[in-house]
Amino acid sequence: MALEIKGLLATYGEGMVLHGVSLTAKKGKVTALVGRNGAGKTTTLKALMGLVETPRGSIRLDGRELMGLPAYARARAGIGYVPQGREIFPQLTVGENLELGMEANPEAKEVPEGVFETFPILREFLNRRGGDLSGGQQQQLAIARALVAAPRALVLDEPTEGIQPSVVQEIGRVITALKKDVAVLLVEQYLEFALDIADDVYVIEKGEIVQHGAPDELDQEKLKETMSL
Amino acid sequence: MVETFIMQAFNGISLSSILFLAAVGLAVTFGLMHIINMAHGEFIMVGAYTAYVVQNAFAGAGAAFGLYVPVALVLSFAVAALVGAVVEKLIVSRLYGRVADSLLVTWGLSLVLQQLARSIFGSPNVGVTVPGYMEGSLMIGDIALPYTRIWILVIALLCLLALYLFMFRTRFGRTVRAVMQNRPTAAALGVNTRRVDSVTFALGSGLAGLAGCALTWIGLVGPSLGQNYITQAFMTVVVGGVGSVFGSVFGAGFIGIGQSIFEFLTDASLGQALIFLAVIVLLQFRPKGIFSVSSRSLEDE
Repeated sequence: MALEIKGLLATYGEGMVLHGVSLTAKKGKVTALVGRNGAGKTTTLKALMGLVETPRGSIRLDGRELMGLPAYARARAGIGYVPQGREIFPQLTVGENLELGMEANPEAKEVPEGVFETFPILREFLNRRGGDLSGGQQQQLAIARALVAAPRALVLDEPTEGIQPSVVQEIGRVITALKKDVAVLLVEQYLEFALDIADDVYVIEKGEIVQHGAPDELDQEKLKETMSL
Repeated sequence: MVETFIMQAFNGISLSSILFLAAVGLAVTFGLMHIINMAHGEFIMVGAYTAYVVQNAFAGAGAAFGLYVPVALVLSFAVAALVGAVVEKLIVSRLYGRVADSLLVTWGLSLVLQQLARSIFGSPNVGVTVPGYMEGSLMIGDIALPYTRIWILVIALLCLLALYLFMFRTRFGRTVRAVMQNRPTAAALGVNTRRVDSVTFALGSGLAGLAGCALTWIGLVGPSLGQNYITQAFMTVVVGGVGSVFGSVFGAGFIGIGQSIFEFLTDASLGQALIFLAVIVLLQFRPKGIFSVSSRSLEDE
């Protein structure tokens, strides 16, 4: 199973944000996309989900072309999306947030037990409103909400943003454990975290991929330069 | 004196129940799509004329005449919902997020629909005959509560219950609430937001149609019927808060009961002015309405 992006362009209004991004995320691996603020990481994921204009490029999930499909159809094709800032529905309960995640998979009838084994806190807070959860709890909910639909590819946008270190570690463990079942694509600004859990790293700068390789193969000098400027 | 007051209050509650039906669709569609639908009043009118046509069809039915009421209720909902679905598909769906444009276009649509009604049914108002079992009043001591208004109240309460169950206990209702709170995320999680919009718009229109059907029992039906209620329906939404079913209940109660009381204490036109003044004062303290749902996309604007 693999998620393949080829020559993806993306625009926001008048401006071009991505200039032909290509990357592949395979099952069994955590693929990380790192870069500075504004380099185009989040836009790559939004373009992947069909939330921004993408004039050209190709997005294939297990060989199936997703380009041109509306966002909901891409989710139903098997992409589980954990958006930046978590985007929990604040007025929906934890349970309802999870049930909403099942919209992406018509065959899903109830929240799989495994989700509660991975995130026990969610069972406890099932009837609380999403907006009342702490940041770390919301992040766990956002990941769980993507997993309930049993996606083929899991796409996470800055899952460590604004989260306390103990929860970051926990999330790292969860992501590493998930890669045996799904292709994981992780967008991250927190470089140590990304290099720590990723098997394959893409570095993006000004909407273009500038480096690609295993974490220890990357040109560390160039990487530092790209990330710190 | 006390009797008159109670009867006025009851009239107010009855007006509130109609306002609720008329406004709740408006509140939900604005919360969902950010469309100001000036033609919403015409869905009331469509429902009212549907009830009129149905009662005409039953006119020769003799003893079975009273059966027209349930048929009229179902059809006024269905026809208004159908007209709403067509309007959404052809016009409203092209206006998403363009508040000012949607206001002008739907205003134009409102005029077209009124003229259409004039062409089909003629300009003069028509009346709907109330069946025997809805005539008269329930007497409690010296207090007379008209049966028609009791029926309308019951219908509105049933609709409120159905709407509550629909919004909070069904899968589709859950998607409506999710799209209202965060449209892009709902879409990225597999919700077909366009379908949610169309269905919700049609249901809101249908409820306005029901309000129209109810209005035929307490007044005359004319092409401009919707115009008489659209202002108050908008006031209801503004007072209650955009996107909230319970806000619509509260807003309708505030406007309906308030207006009845003010009209009773002064006269019809001054009463209207006073209730609008009360709304303005209220909005000074709660600019987003009483039950405003925090909607991301609204905050961003």
